[in-house]
Amino acid sequence: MVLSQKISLEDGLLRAIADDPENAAIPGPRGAALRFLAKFTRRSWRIGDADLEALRKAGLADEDIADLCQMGAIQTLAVNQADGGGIWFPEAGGDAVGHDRAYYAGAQEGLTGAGAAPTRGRGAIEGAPGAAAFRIATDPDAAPYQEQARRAQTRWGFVPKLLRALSKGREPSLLPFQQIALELLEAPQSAALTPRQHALVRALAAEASHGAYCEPTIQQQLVRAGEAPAGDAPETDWAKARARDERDLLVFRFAEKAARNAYKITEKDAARFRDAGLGDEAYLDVLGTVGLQLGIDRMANALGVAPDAHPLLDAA
Amino acid sequence: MGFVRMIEEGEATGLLAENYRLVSERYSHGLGFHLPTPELYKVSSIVPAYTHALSESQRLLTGDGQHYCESDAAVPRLFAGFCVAALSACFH
Repeated sequence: MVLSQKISLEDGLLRAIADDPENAAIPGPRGAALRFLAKFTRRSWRIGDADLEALRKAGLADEDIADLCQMGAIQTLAVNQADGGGIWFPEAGGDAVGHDRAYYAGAQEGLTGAGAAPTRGRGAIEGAPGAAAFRIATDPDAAPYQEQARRAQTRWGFVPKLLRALSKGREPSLLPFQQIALELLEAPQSAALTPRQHALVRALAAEASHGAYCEPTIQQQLVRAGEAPAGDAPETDWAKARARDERDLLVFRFAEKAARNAYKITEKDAARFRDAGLGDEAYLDVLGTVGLQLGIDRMANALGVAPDAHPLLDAA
Repeated sequence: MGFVRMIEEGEATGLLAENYRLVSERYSHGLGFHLPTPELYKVSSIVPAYTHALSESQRLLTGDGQHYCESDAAVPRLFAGFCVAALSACFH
């Protein structure tokens, strides 16, 4: 609890959230934020105007909402790294607040498993091509945004709608992280993962989060890698259908697990990569790709950001 | 001990070593005592681009180590982070 004391959050508040994050009776703006983040983390594709309006009614400004989304994306990567890396809170023997991990495992499975009917964002592309419907106010004059916009313009030749949607953030700005995330997603970050596998891992993660924002980029990556574009509504075992060999299947199955149920990852998953000759680098590259993709998708889903007209791939 | 090989602080070189140093310094400054680089930042050390991304997130969240507490905010950033971790069944 060292960190909680340092950030001056009451221990009881944290305990209530850890005990039952879906139903913790937290009043005021923090309670509204918790309820929003529950949807952000587990069903971001179902976030609508009413969810953001509830935050405003609780006293949160659009800057706060942008910040919540960005913090959610950053933490999505951290969670992904901690679960996939097999590291635990060192002071508590793997149980930071003394509760039953299995309880959460069951709760999350119920929310992210097959029972959650997808309302995939692809319709947003068809219904409103190129027209983002940002659900919060933007501020194109904000200095941190201007700085990020220049960097984006240099790299991609345009400013992604996601960065525009997040332009009204708080100081200090978290926008540089989102730029880094989008840049890292352009290619595998190790030689152990092929560009084709990387693109398909992204597609699988986007499927899990019902995210449409990166679809033009992923499709372009697939085409460049000699792969057919991803279909709209996979009716069969998507990973198996795309796998060319056992290694592919291992990579794609792990990507699905990391995207949907990261808490289920065990040491055996990493061992399988080593046994198959893929190694830790490929394992970590899949893990990192999934973590970043989920964060981007969740933000875009929450803020109603439609895909950009062009792929987010380095123009140079 | 994690699921994968991690590069320890004494072994790290180049950008990775720099990221380890910065992460440790920022936490230590905020906490008021020396904190070695937490394992979270070592998980991806053999694919250091991801370590760098996490280091950058820590830089942004702590104002380059200058602040740690945001308790005056209606929803502190670290509160939001805790919520997402709890909702993800992640107890790191």
